[in-house]
Amino acid sequence: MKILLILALAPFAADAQLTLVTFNGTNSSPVGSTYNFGTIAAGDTISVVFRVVNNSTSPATITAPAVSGVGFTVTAVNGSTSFIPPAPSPLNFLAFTVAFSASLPASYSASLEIASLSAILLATVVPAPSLTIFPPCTGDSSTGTIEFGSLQNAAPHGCNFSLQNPNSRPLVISNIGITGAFQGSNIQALPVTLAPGQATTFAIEVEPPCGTTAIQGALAVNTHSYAIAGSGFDPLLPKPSIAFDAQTFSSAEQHAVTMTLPSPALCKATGYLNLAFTPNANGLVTDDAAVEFLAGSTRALPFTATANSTQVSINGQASAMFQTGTTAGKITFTLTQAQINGDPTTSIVIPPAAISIEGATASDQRAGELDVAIEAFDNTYSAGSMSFTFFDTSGKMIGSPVTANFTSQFGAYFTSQQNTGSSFLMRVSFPVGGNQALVATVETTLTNSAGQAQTGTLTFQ
Amino acid sequence: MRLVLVFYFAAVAWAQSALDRPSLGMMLDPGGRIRPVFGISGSVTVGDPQGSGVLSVACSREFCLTKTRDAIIFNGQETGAPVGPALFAFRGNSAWIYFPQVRQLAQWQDGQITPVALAITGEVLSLRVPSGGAMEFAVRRDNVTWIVNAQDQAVDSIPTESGPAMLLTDGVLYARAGAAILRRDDGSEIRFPVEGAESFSALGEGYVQVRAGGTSYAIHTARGRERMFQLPESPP
Repeated sequence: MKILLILALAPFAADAQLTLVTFNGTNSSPVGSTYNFGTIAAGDTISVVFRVVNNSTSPATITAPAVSGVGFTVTAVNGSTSFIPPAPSPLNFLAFTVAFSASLPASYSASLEIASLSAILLATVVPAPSLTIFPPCTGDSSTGTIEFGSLQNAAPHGCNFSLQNPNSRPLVISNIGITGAFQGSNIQALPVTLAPGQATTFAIEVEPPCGTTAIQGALAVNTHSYAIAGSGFDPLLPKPSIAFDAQTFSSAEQHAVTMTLPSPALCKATGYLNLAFTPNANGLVTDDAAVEFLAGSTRALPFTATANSTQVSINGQASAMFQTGTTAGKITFTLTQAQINGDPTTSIVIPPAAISIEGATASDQRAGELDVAIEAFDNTYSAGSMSFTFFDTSGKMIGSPVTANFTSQFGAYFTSQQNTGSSFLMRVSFPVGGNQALVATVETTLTNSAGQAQTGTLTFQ
Repeated sequence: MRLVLVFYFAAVAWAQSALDRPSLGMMLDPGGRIRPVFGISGSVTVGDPQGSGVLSVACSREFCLTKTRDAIIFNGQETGAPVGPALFAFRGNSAWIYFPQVRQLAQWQDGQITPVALAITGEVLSLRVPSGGAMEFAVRRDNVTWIVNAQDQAVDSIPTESGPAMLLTDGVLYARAGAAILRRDDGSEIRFPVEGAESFSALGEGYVQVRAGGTSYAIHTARGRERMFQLPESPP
């Protein structure tokens, strides 16, 4: 008799080492004889994770959890085995999830059993208000998410909502909470009791800051929670005005370019101010390297439009200097890497011009030679035709003007310069027979497709 | 008398091609590198660095001299020199060099440096050798800038108290009150607005480089073609 009693108690001794707890992802809490799921709205679902923990030094083998009661179901068991290792193994528990959901307002209960452990599960369902979402917001029925859609940053956006009591008895709204990036407004003082069919309205607003891409939040109505989602994008930069310090332009000039906005930028914007040159030369060149921004010797400078300002800095400065080069053509300014409301591309024209003479000298220091040196540029790339008129010491012209056509030499020279511009230093020598000292001065005329240019009187010295 | 004029277009005078790319001279960038400057006033491009560790540079029509910490460099050839920067004055194929840090004057000729005795008081800012004239110096004494001869006798004054000053062939360039002022020997003046001019150097024949903050300008000092323009910053 004594032996039989010991054997009968043995299974209970082993089960006494098992305990039932809830686990919220961080902490465990012991479960007593009852566990209350709380109050939820009709149609909502609440889930609780339970754990059966083996506190003994022996492994435990148990059956799967069983729940009996309307609305309660076991939705997950961790793994296919119910073998629980002995303590202190970190895996000395079996976890399972019990979910509850019901559509009718009432009090609910169920019995949870696992091994020799058991507990009464309780839950209360209250009527749920009906939420109406007004445009431009929409509701995603599959996810239960309130969609704000694509929103421009740095601007206010809002949607109106209505909570109606669809039930046949009064419904108390005790909580309307908005979290995340969104804010609520026009919310009636709570709690408020809605008569059957009665509704209360409120609004949810958001002003996403510049740079926002994803916008998230939540709306809680009593015990029901709705996710709120949207996406943000920065507004287009108002089309900048690209302006210059002059109205007309010529070769071999330096000018300042500035950028201003017609209205303040809502968000900071950055990009590049680019400069491109299209020569209208006669096919000899395809570019002019001197057409560039002077800062950094580049054709692209970063710009920054600051939020709430109409000013745009270029390379950190209020303006940027650039050269017009020595080639007739078109200089085009464009903006890149910024989203702009319009095309701000601006061009300036460098018109063809007669040869511009920077300096000229005449030398008779070599016996039997008269040397003329001219430093100039020809933005038409058509130089070559020229004439030299010599004068004696009394100012009388010697003979007739000497003409020449060096077009082919200039063409070869310009081609060899590989798009570095049309400036040139020309040296012309004249062998002289007779008394060289009688030649006192020379005047040179250079001709290109745009006209003629004179050196003025050059004195041999 | 019959004058025969037969022209030809060839490289006779300077053993160069008849058409060349104009060069203004050499600029000194903020990184202590010298770079050739090509083009004409208002439209220049800057070439690749020709040297680094340069403290001073000056160019005449004929050649350029650079000063590193302790050498004068001409066409890649180094000649030992006193430490520190240098001031230059050219005459033909020779140059006079003043070393402010040791207050020593020297003559440079064919890569050789010969010290020259000098008894000038004050801070020497610039020197020049006028064609057919005697050497002159711009010196600052007690916030007054003078032009003195080699005997330390004042021959003129420059109305600048603290800014840079540079003696030119036929005038002086000095900084004062947000401007670089080109004053000719005939008393005429041309003002070029530039804030914070820190130094002047002979960029080339008829061109002065002005450094102001991180920006460099060139002033074309040739009579009748005076102009200031910005020099392109060196690409990184």
